[in-house]
Amino acid sequence: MTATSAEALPAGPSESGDDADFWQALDEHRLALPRCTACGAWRQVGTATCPACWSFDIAWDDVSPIGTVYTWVRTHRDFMSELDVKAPYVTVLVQLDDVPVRLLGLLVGGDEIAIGDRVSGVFQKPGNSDWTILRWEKSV
Amino acid sequence: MTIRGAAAVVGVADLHHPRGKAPRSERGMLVEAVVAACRDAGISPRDVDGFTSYAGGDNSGPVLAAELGIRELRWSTMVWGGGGGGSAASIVTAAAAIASGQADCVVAVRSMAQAATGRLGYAKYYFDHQYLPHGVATPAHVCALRTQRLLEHDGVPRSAMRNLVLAAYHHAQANPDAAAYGKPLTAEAYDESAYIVEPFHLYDCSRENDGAVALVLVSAERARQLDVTPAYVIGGAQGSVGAYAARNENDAAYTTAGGSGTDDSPGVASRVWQQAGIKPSELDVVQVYENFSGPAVASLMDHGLCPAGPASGDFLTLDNLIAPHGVLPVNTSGGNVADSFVNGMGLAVEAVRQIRGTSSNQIGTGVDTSLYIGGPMAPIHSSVLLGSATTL
Ligand SMILES: [Zn+2]
Repeated sequence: MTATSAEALPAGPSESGDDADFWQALDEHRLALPRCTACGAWRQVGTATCPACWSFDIAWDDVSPIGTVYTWVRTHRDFMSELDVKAPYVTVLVQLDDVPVRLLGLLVGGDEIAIGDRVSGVFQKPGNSDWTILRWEKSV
Repeated sequence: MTIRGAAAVVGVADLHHPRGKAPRSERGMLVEAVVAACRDAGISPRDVDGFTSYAGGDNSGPVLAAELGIRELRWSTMVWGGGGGGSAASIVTAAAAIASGQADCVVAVRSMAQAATGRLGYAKYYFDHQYLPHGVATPAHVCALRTQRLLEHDGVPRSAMRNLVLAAYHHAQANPDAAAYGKPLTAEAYDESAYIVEPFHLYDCSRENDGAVALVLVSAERARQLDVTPAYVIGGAQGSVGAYAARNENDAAYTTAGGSGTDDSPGVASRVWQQAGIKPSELDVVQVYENFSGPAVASLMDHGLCPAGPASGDFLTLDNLIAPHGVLPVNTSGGNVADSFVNGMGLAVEAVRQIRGTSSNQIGTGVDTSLYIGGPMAPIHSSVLLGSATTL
């Protein structure tokens, strides 16, 4: 950690380390998601076991950061002083095309959005963050 | 074995103050509420032998037992899964302890003081790094995400949310104890109020109070010996189906409140109706926890109290939602948005008042069924159905 001020963006691996590969991949501008090597089920980032077969065996597969807006919100107040953008800002929940996983992220490059809009991932490292964050912009 | 009719709420206390204006500590307010609820029931606090609560906190059963000087603590249970989702479950857990003979007199309690909880706004302690870097940092955010899809994808009209709020404000005008007493709300003022987290306007959001609430439960047999109208617990459930949780943006039942079921798992709402042997259409009155209006609408749908999708707008009209003549009066004290908010437990007290016939918006004499639905779109969901002696 280098950005240790109170205003550093809350990001990066948890203490358990179960999500370390996710954050490492983002820093290499890849989206990697966990998959059970025993049964093949896609898992949630940061969980300890596979809820389909209870295996601990895990692989991190590269996934294309392209998908469709499942839902969204527009925040009108600055709840977080550490966030590098100011209200109003839009957060989207993206249903990925290639895997049955939804991911949250800030919308960049515009603020008009609707459910069903196509979006693609943008890797950004805010000035107050030690970690790269996956954000989303509308596909042209 | 069932809890149906085994226990009853016989004493209540709802002591609330403006946020930040607690007259004493959370623990002090808790003790005050327990003593007041026992007085309401005509029971000595020394006879209490159990405590239940939800949403965490340090004021555990043993702590309260020592403060109150009770004879013997026999039941001390915290419902797991923070937030108000477990609020109704704390009442059901008290009833379960009595039904199974583990305890005789159990008090479901909750207290909040802003000075102790530091609630409101940013919940850094609650959300992890799959949420915070994306500006998702409050309960309003996660509820807004689901509500936006409820509106835009499922076709629930804005009027459903608006009318739930307007009904609460309407009821508050007859409740001198409500924060919005003397402050009626119009549809125009609702629409023109600022967005907090879109789709939530200011008026879609609950209040936040300091205070304490307590409900005293005893066996049905003992209840009949007291000089009160018992509100019998005739159904109750807690839990969630599948991986439903406030911090799971991947769950299948995304736009529900967490109380619906699947083909092979009935869910909280169905289990409550089944235990009680009552159909949703037979319900007299409902108090539904509105952390935000949208999730409360989803709760009504989960419980089969209003149709899903666009048709919900036909049912959730102001006329249908207000006492005394509405088809389904909701939040008759003003609820979390217009009365007060002590983690939603004041709504449970109002559910008891309707059975007793003492609500400021009493829907009539002889109320037989009164439902309290706990916090929606939360880590856990729960609801409890209260009934008059007629329902036994
Ligand atoms: Zn597996």
